[in-house]
Formats: sequence, structure tokens, C-alpha cells
Amino acid sequence: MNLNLTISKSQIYKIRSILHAIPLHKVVFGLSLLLSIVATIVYLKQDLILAYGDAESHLNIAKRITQSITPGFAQLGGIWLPIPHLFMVPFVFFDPLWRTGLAGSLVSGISFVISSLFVYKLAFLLTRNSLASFFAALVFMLNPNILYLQSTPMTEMLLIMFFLLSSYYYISYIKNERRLSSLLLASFFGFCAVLTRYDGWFLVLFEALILIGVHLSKHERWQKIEGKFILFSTLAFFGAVLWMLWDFLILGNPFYFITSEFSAHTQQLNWLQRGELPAYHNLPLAVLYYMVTVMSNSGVFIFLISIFGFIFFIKNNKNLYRYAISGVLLVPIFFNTFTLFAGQSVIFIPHLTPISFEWRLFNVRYGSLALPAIAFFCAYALYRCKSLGPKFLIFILFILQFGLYFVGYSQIITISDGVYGLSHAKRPDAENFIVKHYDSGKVLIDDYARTLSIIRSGIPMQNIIYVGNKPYWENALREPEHYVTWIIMQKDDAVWKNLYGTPEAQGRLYNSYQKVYTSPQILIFKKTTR
Amino acid sequence: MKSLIPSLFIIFLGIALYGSTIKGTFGNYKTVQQMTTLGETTKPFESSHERATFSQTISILVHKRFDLPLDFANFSAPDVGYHKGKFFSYFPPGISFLIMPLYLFGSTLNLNLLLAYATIPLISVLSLIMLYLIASQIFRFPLWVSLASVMIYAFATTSWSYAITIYQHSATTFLLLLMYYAVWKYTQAQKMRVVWALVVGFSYGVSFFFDYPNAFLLLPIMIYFLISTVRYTAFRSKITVGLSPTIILTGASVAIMMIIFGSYNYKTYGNWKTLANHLPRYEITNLEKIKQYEKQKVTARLGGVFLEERLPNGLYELTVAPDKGLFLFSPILLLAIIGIIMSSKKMKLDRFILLCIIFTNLLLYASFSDPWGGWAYGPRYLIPSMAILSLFVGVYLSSIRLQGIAKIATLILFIVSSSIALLGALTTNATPPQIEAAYFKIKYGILFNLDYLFMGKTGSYIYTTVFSHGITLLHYFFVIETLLLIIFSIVLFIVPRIFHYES
Repeated sequence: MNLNLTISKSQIYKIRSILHAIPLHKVVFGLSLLLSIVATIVYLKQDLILAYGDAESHLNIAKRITQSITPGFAQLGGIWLPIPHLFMVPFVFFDPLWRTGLAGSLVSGISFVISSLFVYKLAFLLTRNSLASFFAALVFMLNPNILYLQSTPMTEMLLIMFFLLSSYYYISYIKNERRLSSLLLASFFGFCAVLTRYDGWFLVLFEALILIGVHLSKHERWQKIEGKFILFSTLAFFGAVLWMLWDFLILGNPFYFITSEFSAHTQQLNWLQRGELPAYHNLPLAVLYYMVTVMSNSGVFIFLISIFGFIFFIKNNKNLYRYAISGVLLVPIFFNTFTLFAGQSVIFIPHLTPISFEWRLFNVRYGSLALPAIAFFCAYALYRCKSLGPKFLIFILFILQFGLYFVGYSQIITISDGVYGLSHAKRPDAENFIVKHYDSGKVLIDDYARTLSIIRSGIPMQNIIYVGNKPYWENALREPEHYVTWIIMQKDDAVWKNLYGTPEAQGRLYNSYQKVYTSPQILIFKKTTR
Repeated sequence: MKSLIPSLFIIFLGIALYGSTIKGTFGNYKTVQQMTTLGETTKPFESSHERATFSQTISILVHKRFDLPLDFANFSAPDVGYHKGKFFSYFPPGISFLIMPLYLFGSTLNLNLLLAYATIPLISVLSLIMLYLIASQIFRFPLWVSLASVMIYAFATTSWSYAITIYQHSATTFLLLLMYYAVWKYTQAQKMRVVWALVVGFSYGVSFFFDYPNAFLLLPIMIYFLISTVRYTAFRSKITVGLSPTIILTGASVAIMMIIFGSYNYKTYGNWKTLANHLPRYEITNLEKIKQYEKQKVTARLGGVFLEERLPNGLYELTVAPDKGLFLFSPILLLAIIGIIMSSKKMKLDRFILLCIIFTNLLLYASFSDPWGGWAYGPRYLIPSMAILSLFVGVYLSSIRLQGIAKIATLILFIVSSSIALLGALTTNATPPQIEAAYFKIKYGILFNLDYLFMGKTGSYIYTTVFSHGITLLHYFFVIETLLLIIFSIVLFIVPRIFHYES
């Protein structure tokens, strides 16, 4: 005796045709939009949108373009690439959106929705299977790290979007070379990626090299290959040229983003001097660090499924372009491994970082950049499983992954980094003081040192004088009493060194200002009224 | 009947070799004063694991209580929990219950320690029988390959060290193999399906009493069973999906065991969800301190015990680390990797489930706060996986084309692996992790145990009572190892010729 459920084949065909009639890309769009809104509301309520120190900095850069003592595009600076900040400009104009961080969430949220759609489209392009493609989108959309990052003003989500758009059109071109428009679109979105994060530079470089490789493998004439290479590269690399030109015009050095004291490279040198740059010139460790970071971002089970999917993909001899496609999709892995190896970036993750290090959690969000590839390879594993058993198992593992988060086995590591990792925004007591006592007047502060949050302080951006406000910054450091009512300084920052570093400077300061707040690290002065 | 003679051979071999290394001594042990004399390294109570388990048995049988009297708690520390003025063994009670019958029987012969310890080798021999049945019936190996797989697990892995003393790993492995075999029988049987379904359910439920993580470790087999209960038939224009009602019986048997398990926890720790190893740990010196936070609510939470961030280090420790690595202590299992690759081309569900168990085993304990298993010989948490991997060594042996070379390679690796396994079984399981060895400035891994072999220190009952006056421990080691190699060589090279029709 069995507990049976009998259904006629015609009914099954009916159900199947109904399922096939569902426009899954629209479902992906609707679901991603819903998830984006819900996740953003949740993180807004938990006060996590601005958990990262960088999150506020991105918003502030955008804000200063329109509202600052010296507004203009020069506020974009020369280190962080401009597109994320330019996209935020229309939103940060409204103070509530700026102060809550929602201005950034909107940009990341829209990027998330488009990315989800293109994860689906990419998987469909490569499998022609709508259910597997939908699964890819689900893996991506429901990833808790992605859901968190899409609610913040961080730049990862925007890069993921451009990466996906460029990769999608690029792969589309590889599969059908007559679609030159696809190549041009890949190039355009590559250009956008180039001006979003430096990872984009690697993407277009790889795409260009793979383009040559693909055409060479077909024994095409060199002139033809050259033509296509130029067609792609002109726009794609133009972003890099543009940025160097910008740095030259604004800051006098086309390589300012590499050589300046604010560059990532300079920051990594500090870690190196402390002996805390573990992957530096150690390729196996660089690979391990990044792969473990990807695993932690994607989830253990998801990561494992994707490895199987990758193996299936590579072993599929019928796909002539499998290496080229994998190469493009895995660019974030190549890029991040390279930067870790070269000492251009650093990741601290508790899985690997020694206990003796001062910090064991930093920059783990870089692992999220590989999630489009992870999602695709997961779906590919599902697609290639012929029988129901393995498909069922993949689905079970996918569900179990949420169980691991639920029971606390895995943490949402990008949130952890923002809450107690080195990436977190400081919340000094001085911030509360300024919220209560600031009334009006200009404020001198070294924003690079992130003494306190301007967003939370309630000070209008127009009243801030920081290193980017020439000539007010230099003048205020020389004669503060003529320019600012408030001076906020943190030990050893630029303001401290100039106005408090010597007894003479202190004497002059106390002549016009009164110390209204003292803590071991932060001092606040207010101009005395006479 | 076809399995009878090989099974008898396995029973004989298991009893002989496990018996030659079993820890124990003459006499009835009921007091801490008596037990303390056997507390030094290589002796039956060398680890707190053995002390706490045996103490609980005595507490229940002699003192008629589940908690430990203070002197037993001090003797068993630090594997002791404290709750509301009472002390409890840090381990689930399964092993303590399991050894009771032979403890009682032994008490009548003035051999309660030895016979209580003998429970585990007997369970281990049952595991070997199950392994043989799986190898011969499910994997359909020829006789020689089935026997070789059994011998590899039994005598060429560090499972040997834990088959002769009162740890939980042998019981877990037995239940795992029994459940797996029962599910397979369930899928094959026309009759007796109800019995096999009940075996699956009760084995799963009983496993909680031996080791808490068994709930996760054995889960793939439960999924295998669940899949097996689903029947799909397409006839004419209709498709029928059926679910066997035996699943209700299995579910009920699991539920019954969970109720008993929960009741035990409730009676002893005051909460059905509280597990022994979630109690504040008693370490003799810290009683006053733990009394202060006793009021804190203590319940089981997976996340605290197992954490993803420990995975890289845990995987390293369990697989290749010089102090505990599986492939360093049992290099013969490297052949299992080849076997798995060979299986991957046509992976069937039953084999895939076994790989899932290995994966779960690795994932669980690599994420555990103590992947080393404390002071232990080899990766003791991977003993269930060792049984499965030995089956995949069988796949390698039965599938590879160059049989001669494959057999020679297997023999060489068996010599190395079995020597390492026997070394641990004859000397001590209290081998420090590298990190602690560095702190204490002592050796670790195999080198640590070699010193004991050369010093002639062992807890082997047979050696100490029968042979110690005639031969050195080193000679004893070589005698056993030589016998083992002769038998394994016969299995590899002669049995296939005698029973060639099987292959």
C-alpha cells in the first residue's frame, strides 16, 4: 500500500506549458525589486546602511559636487573613480536622502535589479534553459551579502552591474560575431566599469586579450582581428585615458591615483611595514585568501555547487568558447588575486588571518564581485544534472545554505565587516557632542581622517571646510579665526598638526578659540565671542 | 550463506587483532582510588574521555545516579559539566550505557574493566561485517576486494586505536554502516521492508546518544531513505507518485528515540534541549567561578560549536597536517581519491550518498572548535569517513587496469598505514596537537608514539599479562604486523586466484 498521487500526462503538459508561459525575466525583475526595497528598509531600520566608513565618504563626494563651499566636479577628486558619485548626485541633493544614505541605496538598488536581470539573461544565453537561468538569478538575488551591499552606497553593486552588462554583450558577441552592436555595447559598459572601480580596467584588458585569442584560434586575418580589437578597445580603454587626463588636469599627476598619499598602494605599504600584508608576493596565499573570501560571500554550499558547475562547464567540449567565457566571468578572481599578490589591496578574513594581527576582518566585500560567476556556475551545475536526484540535492543544498546563516554557522560577512571589522565607520562620542551643540558657522575638519560623521553631525555640507576646498582649506589652516567658527581635530590629523602640533600654534589657537570638547583622540574648539 | 565464511574470517581476524591490542587489566574497578592507578599514558584511563565515560557507568550502576560523585568528577575533569550543584560527564551517555552489560558480566569474573572495554571491539567487529556486506552486495566487489576493503579500514587506519577503548567513534561508524545497508536493503527487498525501515529510524535515533553531531552526520542517509520511499510510475496516460507508508514508521521510531533523548536531557540537565557539552566546564579549580554564571540559560546552538570561519584550518588539520592529517596517518586512503574519481563517471545515488557523508563529516569537524579531537592519535572524528574511503580504495582495486602494479602499490601503502595504525593501538591515543606540543616542547604525531613503543609502554592487556615477560613490545609489534601483512598479501594475491570465478 502506498500513499499515491496520480496525475494524467495531459495535466502535466498543461502545468508545464503554464510554467513555460510565465515570463521568468519579469518575475526576476519584480522579485529583485521587491527584495531590494525590503532589504533596504530592513537595513535602514537597523542603521546599517552607513555602517561602512567608505559609505559616507562616497555620499559626501557626491554631495560636495553641488553643495559645498567650493562646489564643482573637482570635488570628485583623483582617487576614487567618478561614476558612482556622479550617479548619486541627483539623489544626494535632497538632504534626507543624503543623511540616511538612501541616495546611495537607490543607485545600488537599481544596479541590483539590473544585475539580477542580467544574471538571468547571461545564464539563459549560455544554457537556453529558463529554469536554470531563474535558479542563477535566485542564487544571486537571495545572497545575503549582495542584499546588504545593494542597500548601501558602496560601489560594488554598480561595478557588478557594469561587469554583467559588459560580459553579457561580450559573450553574446563571441557566440555570434555578426552582432557587432553587442561588441560595441560590451565596450561601452566596459568603459563604464573602468570609470566605476579599478577592477573594470582588468575587465576590459581581459576582454581585449580574449578577443584577440578567440579570433586567432579561428585563424582569421590579422587585419580583421586588429580592426575588431580597435573597435572594442577605443571606447573601453578611453575611460582609463580620460581618468589619467583628469588626474593630470586637476592634480597635476596622471598617476595620482597610484602614487598619492591617499592611494590604496600607499595604504598597503603601512600594512607591509607592520608585517600584516599576508598575501604580498605569495601567490598561493593570495589565491587562497580571495577564494576563501568568495566562499564566505557566496556561502559554503553555493560555492561548492559552483565548483562542480565550473568543472561541468569546462569539460563541455561542445562549447568551443568555454575557456574564453570562463575567462571573462572569472575576471574578478584574477584581478583580486593579482592585487593581493602585488600588495595593491588587502583582505583580512578570520578564516585565514592570524590571531596575532590587529585586525582580522577587512575588505571582505571584494569577494562579492565574483558572485555573478558563482551564480552562473551554480545554475550550470543544475542544468547539466540529467536526473532528478542531483537536481533535488542542489536545491536542498541551496535551501540548507540559508539554514547555515540561520543557526549562526555562517555569518553575513559583509555586515560583520561593517559592524566590527576594520571597514566600520567610527562612532565617536564627539559626534554626539556636535549633534547637540552645533548651531551655525563654518567647520574645519580633516575629512580624510574620518574624525566624525558629517552626515550624522547635522552640519550642512556648505559649512564644512576640508582638504578639497581650495583655497579655504589652506587659508583656514593658516588663519582659522578668519574662516571658521568650529575646529574639529583628531590626534595627528592635518588639522591637529597645523593648529595644535606646536606650543606656538596652540597659543594662537587658544587666543581665538575655546576648547569645548576633549577626549583622548578628538578635540573640538569653538570661536570665542568678544 | 555466501557471506558466512568471509564473515567468520572477519570475526576471527577482528577478535584476534583487536584482542591483541585491547586496553584493560585484571580486576574489578569501582572506586576512584583503583582507577587512578591506571591513569598514566598508554593505560586504560589515560584520557579524560575514557575516565568520564567509565565514571558515568559506575555512577549509574553502583551509585544509582546519572550525575557523577565529586571524586569521580575530579577524576574525569576537565570533561565534566556542572549544573545546579551536580557534575555530569561531558559526553552523551550512549557508550556508558553500551558497556554496562559486559561491565556487569565482568564483575562476576573480576574482569569488569577489561570486559567493559571489550564492548567496543565487538561493536567494531560488527562494523567490519557491515562493511563487508556493503562491499560485496552494494558495491559488488569480488571477495578479495571486499576483504581488502575491510582490512584496510580495520587495520590500516587509526580507527584501530579507537576500536579498543571506550570512545564513541566505533559505535557511530557501526550505526552509519548499518543504516546505509538497511536503506539499501529497503530499496531491494520485496518483504521485510518494514523491518529495514524501522532499523533505519531507530539507528538514527539511537545515534544521538553516542555523539550529538551524528544528527547531522547521518542526515544524508535519512535523505537517501526519503528518496527511496518515493515511487514514480508512468503507465499509459497517467503518472503516479507514491510515498511508502513505511516512512511513517521510520519517522515514528526517530520520534520515539528523540523523546527518550529529550527526556534524558530534561531529567539530567533540566531542559530537553540542553546537551552535556553545553554545560559550564568543570576543571577542579574553577568551581566557584562557574557557580557564578550557572544561572545563564544554556541551550544547544550549532553556530557556537561549529563555525564556517574555522573551515580552512580545520580542513588542513584533518587532511594533511603532520600532527593529525588523515593522509599522513593513513596514506593508503589516498587511493580512495582515485577510486572516487573512477566512480565519478557513472555516479549512482548510493555511492553519491556515501560521498555526501564524507563531505558532511569533513564540513562538521573542520568547522569544530577542536578539529584535533584534543590529544588524540590521528583524525579521530573522521573514523566514519575512513570506513567509506576504504570502500573507495576497493573501487580503485577492482576497477584499475594494471592490477599487478595496483596491488603492489596497495601493499606498500598498507605496510606503512597498518604500521602507523598498530603503533597507535599499542601505545597511546593521548598524542598532542602540534600547537600544544610546541608549547610543552614535546614531540607530536607518530614520533610521539614511537618513543612509547621503544620504551615498551603499552596498555595492551594481552601483551602485559601474557607476553611482556618473554618479548619486548617492539617484537610484539613486529609479530602482529608480520601476521597482518601475510594475511593481507594472501587476500590481495592468493584469494583472487582461488576464487577467480567471482571476478
